[in-house]
Amino acid sequence: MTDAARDERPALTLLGDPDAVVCEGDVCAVPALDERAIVKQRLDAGLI
Amino acid sequence: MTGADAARPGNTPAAAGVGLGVTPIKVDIWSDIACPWCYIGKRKFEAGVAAYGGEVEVEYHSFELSPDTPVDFDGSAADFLSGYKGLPLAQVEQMIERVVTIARSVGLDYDYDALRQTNTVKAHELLHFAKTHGKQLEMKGRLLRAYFIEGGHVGRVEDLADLAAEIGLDRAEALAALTEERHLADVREDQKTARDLGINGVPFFVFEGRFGVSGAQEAATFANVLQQVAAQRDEVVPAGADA
Repeated sequence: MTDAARDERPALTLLGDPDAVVCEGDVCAVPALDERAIVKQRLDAGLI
Repeated sequence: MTGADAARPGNTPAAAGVGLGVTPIKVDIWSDIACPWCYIGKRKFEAGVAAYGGEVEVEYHSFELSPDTPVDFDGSAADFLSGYKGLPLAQVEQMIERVVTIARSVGLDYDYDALRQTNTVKAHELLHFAKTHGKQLEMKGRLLRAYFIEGGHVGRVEDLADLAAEIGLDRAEALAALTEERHLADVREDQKTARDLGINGVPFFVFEGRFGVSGAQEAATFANVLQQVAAQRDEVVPAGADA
């Protein structure tokens, strides 16, 4: 794929559950595996 | 890939499907081998494809979660995460226990005691090699099973060549491709595309190049997304027209 084609690529429309577990960075899904951490993150973010 | 053969290896299936579009829905999946959620997500995605019932074409793409991992790490997965990555051991043990339980719920018997932490770039090169021979899906499944269930080593080229031979690929050719890094550029291209798309975590599923789904979603979610994508495509392509 050329750089021009890449630039023209439309942004993805995200579907599905935004909280589904993923692996990110060096460590795989540690936050997602720790429910207490998730709750704390959501509390900190004012989501719950 | 259809519902009936969702787990079966292969390339683009023949166009089929009634009322679901005449061409397969293309799904590009970014994932790593050393990614417990990618294997779980693969199982759930395949169940979603089965529930959807239409034709789906799958292509896997490379994503390295931990590119600084040595090929030969001397220690367990817990040692790696706690010692090498600096996570609290209690958190690591909880994480492993949890992921093993969830894996079991989708029929995967993860064995973290036997797991051999390694660098996965060569495994990704092998997936590209397998793709050129029409066996990428089969290779992906074999690598994941070796890593998470059998305690296999998926970082050394000799071990990888053995796995390639197990699925019917030419061992010597696979070994040469890995040794000569014939597909390293393909791996890097996948990684660049992931960055361009803003993909930060895996598994990540891209449907028809337009819709993104992040993470190990439930099978019903995948089925719903496939139905949405098919419905939107049918709106664009009149019934009976070539897609």
